Amino acid sequence: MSPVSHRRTSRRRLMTVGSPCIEGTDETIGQLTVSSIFAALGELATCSAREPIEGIVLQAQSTHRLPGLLRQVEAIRRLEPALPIIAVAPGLPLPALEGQVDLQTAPPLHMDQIRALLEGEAELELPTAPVPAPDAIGQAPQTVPSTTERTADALGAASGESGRITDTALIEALLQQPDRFRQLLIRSLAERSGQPSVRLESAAGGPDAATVHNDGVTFGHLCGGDTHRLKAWTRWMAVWLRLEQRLERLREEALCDDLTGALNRRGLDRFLEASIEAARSARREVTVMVFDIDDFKAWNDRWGHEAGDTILRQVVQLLGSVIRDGDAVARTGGDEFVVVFADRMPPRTPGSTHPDSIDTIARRFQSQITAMKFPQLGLAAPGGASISGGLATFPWDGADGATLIRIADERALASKRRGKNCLTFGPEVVDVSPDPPTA
Amino acid sequence: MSEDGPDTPQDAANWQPTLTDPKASAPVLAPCVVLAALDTPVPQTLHGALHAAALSARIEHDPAMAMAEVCLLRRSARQKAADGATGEALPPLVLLSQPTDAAAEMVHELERLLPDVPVLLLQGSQLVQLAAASVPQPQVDPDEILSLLGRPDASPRESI
Repeated sequence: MSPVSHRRTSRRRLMTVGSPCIEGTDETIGQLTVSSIFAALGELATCSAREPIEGIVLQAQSTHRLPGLLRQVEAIRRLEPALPIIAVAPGLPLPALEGQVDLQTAPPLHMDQIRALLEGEAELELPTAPVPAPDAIGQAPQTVPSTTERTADALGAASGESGRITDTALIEALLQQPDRFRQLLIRSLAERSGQPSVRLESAAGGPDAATVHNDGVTFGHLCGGDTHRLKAWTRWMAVWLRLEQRLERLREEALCDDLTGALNRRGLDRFLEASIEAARSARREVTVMVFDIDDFKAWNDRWGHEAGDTILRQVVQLLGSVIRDGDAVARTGGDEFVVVFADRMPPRTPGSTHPDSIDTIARRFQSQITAMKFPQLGLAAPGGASISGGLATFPWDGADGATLIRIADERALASKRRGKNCLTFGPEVVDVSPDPPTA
Repeated sequence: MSEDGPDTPQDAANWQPTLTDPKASAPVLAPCVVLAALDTPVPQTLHGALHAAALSARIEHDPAMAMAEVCLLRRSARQKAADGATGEALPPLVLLSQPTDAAAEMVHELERLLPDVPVLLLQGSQLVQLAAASVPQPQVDPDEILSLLGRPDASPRESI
């Protein structure tokens, strides 16, 4: 038996067991061909750390030889559990190899596929497609995707608009267009499962429903297809939906204030920027109200920080009930809040304004906070708090968020100077509540 | 008083447990890999031979798995040696009979790529070094390989 030559010019190496079967070349990937699995194991055991073998190609002449190939896979896995394994045989991909190898394909094997695998496209923690009831080896799969397809997906365009929706497209939607993710996911499931009418519903269609659940969370039930087949896809679906859920939670944590659930400064900046941009193109107004709770420190000192936290939460809750869809509340400091009035409802007639105009809402909020009760503080707790704030409106007071917040903040200070419990709408427009409460 | 503990109440009052490490007197067994065919019973003499050689067997039925196991044990022994451990012998591969076919191919590659791994053969109740010359080479017809590969040079090679 001829020895393996040792002309090594590259650090990354791919080892092929059997005859060469790779189409195309890559300057960065050296190839080493050995005659048997024993030679491959020996090479793996003796290769230097400076020239690691980063993948191995195993071949079978026909699908009838796949049991032997699987034994080779097992031996390689025993020695190098993390080494990417590529299986090449006529008739692949097959469900029997799903999860056993990192890539399976019928010959020829293209260097592009290898490059994608070695560069990590297939190493992502992707939801694994289900393996159906064990088909006889050699029987072509009907509906189950393979690692080969996943890798080929990764190589293709990730748009998902035309043709097959790839895992890459799903991840991109998850990250960049979360609103579009569910739709894409269902479309992808329909393609992959061969159930074109599949849909995710909250109510189960019957006791034998294909329920999508993971870690004790039920995401819904797959309906509109062969339940038996759809059941094989529930875990795949659940993993994606859990990813979506976790990402949503991360987004919330990144953009929201823990205590009150209002937007934090980062969330405010993003929301305000998007609102101004939308208002600019739609020729609308965006109003920013900056306010703080009068004498909040006195509340804190007298009733404790827990009481202060309660007040902050109630203020946000109250604001949430007053503002309109499309508006947002942000907590930017201890007791400092910013409300963005970015109502996107179109005017009913040209030149008209929304019935709930900004000053109406602001005054309503101001009066409601004055009437607010704090039963959590006990019988001796005073009722109501007061706020001092200022408002600034795009495009009249400023063309960007920072300017609007600065001007609104200046007007809030002016309200404080005027004796608190006061809103300043503009340089000349001041609204003072007649009954300022005391802490 | 017996070695196991007190026999009488008086003994019990004065009894002190003797702390001994049962492993202290036991020989340290080095691991080895035994390649045994699944359909052939393991000879009784194997246990005595392994005990005499202070070896602990890991039995594998498939030559590829046996080779992988040998490679793992060899790697472990070399790492221990690199860490300063002394007396770390490389794990041997134990064959129960003269290797043929796949086992012969495995032994061939083992001797070519990992010549430091001892290959032992069970002969009677003893383990003896397998003579390289005694290993039959795999019966491969070069013409057959060439026709299968469809290329003039069927030798393994490395390329970029």
